Order: sequence, then structure tokens, then C-alpha cells
Amino acid sequence: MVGAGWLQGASQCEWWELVGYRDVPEQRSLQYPKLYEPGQLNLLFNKREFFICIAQGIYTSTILFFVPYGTLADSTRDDGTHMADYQSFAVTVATSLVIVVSVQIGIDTGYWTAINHFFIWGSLAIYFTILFAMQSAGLFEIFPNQFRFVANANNTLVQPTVWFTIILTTAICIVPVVAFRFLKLDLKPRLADTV
Amino acid sequence: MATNYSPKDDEGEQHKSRKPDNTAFKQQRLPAWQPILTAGTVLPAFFIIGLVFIPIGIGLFVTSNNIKEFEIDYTGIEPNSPCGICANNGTWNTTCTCEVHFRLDQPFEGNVFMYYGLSNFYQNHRRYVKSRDDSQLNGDKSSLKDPSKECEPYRMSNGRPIAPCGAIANSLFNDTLVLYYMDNGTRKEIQLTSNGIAWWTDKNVKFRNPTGDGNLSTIFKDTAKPLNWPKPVYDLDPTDPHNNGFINEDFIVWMRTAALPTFRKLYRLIMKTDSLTPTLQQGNYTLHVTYNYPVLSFDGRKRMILSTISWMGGKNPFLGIAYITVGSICFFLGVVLLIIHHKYGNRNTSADIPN
Repeated sequence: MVGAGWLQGASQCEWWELVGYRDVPEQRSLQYPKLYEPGQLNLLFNKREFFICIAQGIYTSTILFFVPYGTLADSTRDDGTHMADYQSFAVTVATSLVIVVSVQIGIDTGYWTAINHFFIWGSLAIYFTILFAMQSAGLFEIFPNQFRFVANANNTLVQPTVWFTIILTTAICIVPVVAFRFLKLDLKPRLADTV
Repeated sequence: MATNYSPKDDEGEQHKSRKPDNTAFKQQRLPAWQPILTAGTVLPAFFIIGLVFIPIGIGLFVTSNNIKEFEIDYTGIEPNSPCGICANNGTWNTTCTCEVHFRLDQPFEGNVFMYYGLSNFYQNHRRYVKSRDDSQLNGDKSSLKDPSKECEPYRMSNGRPIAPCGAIANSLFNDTLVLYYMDNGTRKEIQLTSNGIAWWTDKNVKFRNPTGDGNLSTIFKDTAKPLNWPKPVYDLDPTDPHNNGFINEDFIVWMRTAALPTFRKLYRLIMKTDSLTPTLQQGNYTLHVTYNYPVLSFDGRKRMILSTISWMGGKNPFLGIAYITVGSICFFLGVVLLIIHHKYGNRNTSADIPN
């Protein structure tokens, strides 16, 4: 769980570079050389920013565990059968994690080209494809001891409770981030945001 | 300070220009959408989230409250409890029965689900979770003769392979619960159904009996029963061949390991009789327990739970309360941010940039 939080914390820190990531058009970069100041002064990545990232990672991983735990603890499926088993719990938490990280990356992406759309929606699509493929009956027939989660996604991801849990987890993880970011922009905008 | 290096013509063929091509992709000029977090986008978003989550939460909470549930602990640790004798004197080999009387204050309509619940039972312990052989449970003949090493120490017994092997199978819950309705002094047994308590995919895909000639006892003849079971696997339900052997539904339900130490598993269904009479009427009931499963050694508890079901499953107030809380906090946060933005916010969209 902490590993997931680290991944999530690392993904939203500003030192990753994606193709086509930029926040200011190049003509303005030439007009306002003061825009280069934060980079030279190491304002965007320093110990303080790093620890803020870590804190957000810890918060997210706590929410990603405890909200599904609270929801699934005594739950059942809509036909009364089991839903509080560890495989369903795992699928719920993993799906929440992927969706939270994708939404976080989406918020961080200030410049949505076609490539960004392709990678972000594509990664969600690939996650679900691989999830259903790994939990298919076909792979289970070949390697029963390795692919034990057979049909779990089919059974778990059609339950409304699971999707409500995923949406709730995403909201709890993302809303504070957006609020902080909005406050920072509103009260102390960086030069790059106003140009 | 840049020196402009122009390669001479005679070397020009070998040196390519290092300047990137003037395409939209390489010059980062691709058409793009640039969302910016302004007050006009963030504040309405917060209010919308708040206004959407609160009714959802109320709906979930009301649905959960309409589900009827009844729970009774029958472990027998209190001094005067009916199952106290069984709790203190029972072992794996003895059979003890006890009866617990309770009263339902409300009638239960529709299908009623009967669960057994265990507390302080860590089915999520890592070594326990791994202790199974899924290819043996899928009916693979070679795994039947030679189970996986993960099942140790519940793999072989007296030189014969254990079927089903592993610690999960070995600790199968084996109490029998029967429910009676006390109708003016006479007992009426409530009809309990054991079909449909496991997942369809578990019963039809994941668990299969090994194929072969003859009945199940012939197929399993060279195997041993798990150490703590009173009867071998082919005697789990001799009356119904679709519920015997590995595809016995109680066994399948137990093998789906729970995520948390306090869990409940579906035991039986009580189907609704007709739309006029409630499935379980208000009144006095008796639970007849064949107390086989010892839990006091690890300070565990056993419970029987009766519950109705809705579209979101059983009673689950957490989700409703969580949605209402998050919706309210979001709305409140939206109001706070609106006030802050109004009073202290930087309204300038054009920059006043010193050079």
C-alpha cells in the first residue's frame, strides 16, 4: 500500500517530463526571461516540495486502503453472496488506485495534446484489458495456480457498491489536491501561470 | 554566449544540422487544450460535487436502513449461555448440540439470507492464503496424486495425498445450523436452501471434480481426507451429486478467503414463499446448533446473521455516511474558497511583470 502511495506521490511531482509538456508558449518564454528564474533557483524541486509529495502519497495510500476497507468490510453482492473476500478487495483497491493516479495525472497535465489524451485514456483502457485478460477463464485453465483470480473482475466490477467506493475514493484523494492548488494559484500565482 | 558553428561545405555532407525539424510535434506546437484552475472552474466543480454526493449518500443510507438484519452470537462464552457446555468441552472429534432462542421483532420479507460470522479469524494470513492447490481443486488428476508444495504441512497423510490439501481446506467451518419457528409451542422447521450460495464462476469454472469412472469415492480412493475433517470430501453431501466433492458449495464459499478478521459467509438461503406472507414472521425462533467448530482457542467468536438484501447488497451504512460527509465537506470547502477568493484572491489575469 505504501508502495502504491509512493508511486502516486512520485507521479504528480513536477520533475517528470512527458512529451509535449509545457506550460507557456515559446514566444512568451522569449519575452519574459524572468520565467526561467524558478528553474535556476530550484524552486520547483527541492526538499520542501519532495516532502509535500511524500505527504500526499501517504494520505492517498491511507485513503486507498481505509475507504474500501470500511465499505467492503460487511458488504455482500446484490445476490447475497460473498464480496468481502481478499480478491474482491484487491481488485477494488487496484482499480481505485489506477483511476486516482490517472485523474491526478490529468489534473497535472496543463497542456492536453492528442498524445496526452492517447496515453492517459489508453493507460486506463490497457489496465482494464489486462485485468480482464489475467482473470479470464482461458488463462486459468492453462495455469491454475498462477492465475487464481479467475472471474473476479467480472463478478466484482459489476457491483454498484464497488463503483460507488471507487468514485468516493477518487473524490477524497483529488479534492484536497485541487483545493490546495487553486488556493496557491489564487493567492500566490507563479509568473508562468499568469503569462 | 553562443558560438555559431557552421560546418564547412566540404565537411557538410557528414554533419547534419542539429536544429529540430520545424514540425508541430517537434516544436511543441500541437493543438492542445489548456485547462487552468480558475475560480470559474474550480468553485462550481466543488459545489456540483457537493450537490451530487449528498443526495447519493442519503439514498444509500436510506436503502441501507431499510435492510433488516439480525445477528446472534452463539459462541457460548457467557456463563449462562446455551452453548457454553459445547464451547468448553468440545474438541475436533466430539459432537455437541445446543439451542439458542431469539425473537424477531420485525417480519423479514423477500429472500432472506442466513450467514455465519466469525471474529478474530485471520483468513488473510499470508501463509494461510497460499496454502491451497488450485489445479487440484480444478480436477487435475496429477495434482490429485501429487499436490502442490504450498500445501505443506497439510499435503500428505499416512503416505497418501490429502484431497483437498492445504490449511484453508483443513479449517473448513463445519457447524450445522437449523432454524425453527416457534408457532404456539410447536416447532416448524424453516426451509433452508444450499444452492446458489457460491459464485457461479467459482462453482462452474474454478472448482471441478476430477473425472473418471465410477462415483466420487472411487475417484478419490487413493487420497486421504484433511486432518481435521470428520468425513472425506466425497461425503460432503452424498444426497446431491452436484453438491458433492470439490463442488460442494459450503466448501467453495469457505475457500474464498475473507479479507478481514471479522467476516461473514453465506450459509443458506431462505427463499420467499409467496408475496402475501413474510418469509420470516415476527415471533420466537430457535437456532439449533451442531457445535463442531472450536473457536475459543484463538479467542474467536461465532455468530449467525439473518439479513435481507437490496440492490447494493447487505446493510452497509458506511457508504451512505461517507458520501454525505464528503459531499458536505466539499460544499463547505467550496463556500470557504469562494470567500477567500472574494476577499484575498488575485483578480489580475494580465501580468504586471517587472523586467
